[in-house]
Amino acid sequence: MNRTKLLLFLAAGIIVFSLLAPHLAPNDPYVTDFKNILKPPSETYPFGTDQVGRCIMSRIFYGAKVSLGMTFLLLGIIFLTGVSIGIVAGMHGGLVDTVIMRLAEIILAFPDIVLAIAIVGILGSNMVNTLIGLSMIWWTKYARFTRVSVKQVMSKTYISAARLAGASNFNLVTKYILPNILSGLVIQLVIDISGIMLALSGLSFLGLGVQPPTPEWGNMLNEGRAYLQTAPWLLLYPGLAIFIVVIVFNLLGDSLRDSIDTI
Amino acid sequence: MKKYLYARIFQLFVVMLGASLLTFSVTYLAPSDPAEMMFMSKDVIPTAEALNTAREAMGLNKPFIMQYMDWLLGICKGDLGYSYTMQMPVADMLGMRLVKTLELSLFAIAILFALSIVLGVISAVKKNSFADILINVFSAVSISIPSFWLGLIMMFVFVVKLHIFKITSSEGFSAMVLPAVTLAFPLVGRYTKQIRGAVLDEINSNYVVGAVARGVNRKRILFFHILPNTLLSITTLFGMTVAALLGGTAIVENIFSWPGLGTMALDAITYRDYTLLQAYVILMCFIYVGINFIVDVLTHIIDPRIEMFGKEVQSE
Repeated sequence: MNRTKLLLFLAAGIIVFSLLAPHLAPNDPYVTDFKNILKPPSETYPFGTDQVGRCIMSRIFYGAKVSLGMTFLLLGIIFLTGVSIGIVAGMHGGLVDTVIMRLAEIILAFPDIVLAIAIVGILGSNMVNTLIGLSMIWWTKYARFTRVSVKQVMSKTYISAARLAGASNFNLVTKYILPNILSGLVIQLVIDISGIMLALSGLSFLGLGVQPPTPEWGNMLNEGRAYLQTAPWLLLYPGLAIFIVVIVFNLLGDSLRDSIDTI
Repeated sequence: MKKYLYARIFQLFVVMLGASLLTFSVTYLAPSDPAEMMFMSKDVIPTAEALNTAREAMGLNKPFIMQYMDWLLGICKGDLGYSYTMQMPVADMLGMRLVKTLELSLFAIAILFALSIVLGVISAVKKNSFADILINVFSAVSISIPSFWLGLIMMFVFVVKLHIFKITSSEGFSAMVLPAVTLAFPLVGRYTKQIRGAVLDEINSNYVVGAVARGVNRKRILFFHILPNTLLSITTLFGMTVAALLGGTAIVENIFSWPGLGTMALDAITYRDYTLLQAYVILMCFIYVGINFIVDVLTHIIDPRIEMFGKEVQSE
């Protein structure tokens, strides 16, 4: 349990940092300095400067807000849409259920990144379309998970009792079903943070996500690629930032899953 | 078995049909006009009349469902349309690129299996040793490292600093090493963990304890009894992770300029060649559902009890 607490602390630290980061950044992430292009780390620029002389550390700090902000926004979108659709399918049953689940099955027949690349590529590369593309794919996971849980809960006798006592559908969902399935869903959310973060920054790396000059870790790596031989610090720090966040949330997810399994 | 196979083939067919409709709808909704794109690719600004003739010839004036049927019939005949940016039939282009992507993926799968079986077995046999802890840390790193960063770092270390590999060549075995390792690496951790768990389950089972008690050579137990019994869990995991592998090719090919399907798809997006993009998406989908179909059938062959269990549940 100590391990989980430590990881929770680290994860909270990362989130707080990403919120405060813009105030901690040593320089303006958008200001270019043509006298200091591709300079290695120094006192004024602790992580060095990029191809137009912008401070890399400041861009990483601002990028934390963008990268983590998008991750949590997407997580919220797929959670809300997925869970609502799952509840409708699970409670309604019949044709609605069949249609929704067939659609989910078809979407899951694609490797997710391939479909995301196609949707974003066609809609046009920007932040909003990336969120649209990925949420069109990932709601399926939460919908399926919720639907199965709802069906399990619905077959319990206390639900029949609640129905006989005159509980409305809304009451059934908010008072009986959601409290039962929420803890499982929240753990799933934590487990998915890393994957979502990697997918978002991966798409940005391919030029299909956040567009420059907005700093985001994936697109910083993409911009830095051309300077692999001359200025490797352009690549070191953004990648390290992604790696740290992803490994903390990965370990946290694992440890939460283990603690549930042992209960 | 036969009944299961027929039901599974029917399901495969339905999903593929649905997937083709989804793929076609996504590209159909694209904001740009394919006829206009065709003229643009030839650097011609078309007159309204020329545009209309082209649209008619390309079947773009037909209703959605007719266009979809034409496309679907084309796929069945192996005709995926013509790519105006590449100046060749899409099917020919796809064939060339598919070979490169398959080469890369198969090599990556070989690395993945070899590495994770060795690491998984070591960490299970030497449970809680220093080696086990080290392998656990390695697994966590492997799962968390972004493949696009790993690729760039390896390029920096092995190409720029150590000069072991060349950056530009895409021919021959050595050109494939870095991309394949990059593709395999993020999955090694998951496989190692899975194999470690599966081997540990077997080690503690009665038949292994019995064999050890009877004095059977330990290596013999490992290679002839334990490892074959972990096959099922590895096969299942392969089915679950093949999507990551297929999606990963797009990123890895992009980093190393590998002339496979992934780079083709990204070029198709840049030049708005949606015929080509469409073909990429549907091909990847068919490969994915195809592999999962094979994995499902294989798990039934490896462990027929799964099917029996299913039947028991149905008869109840």
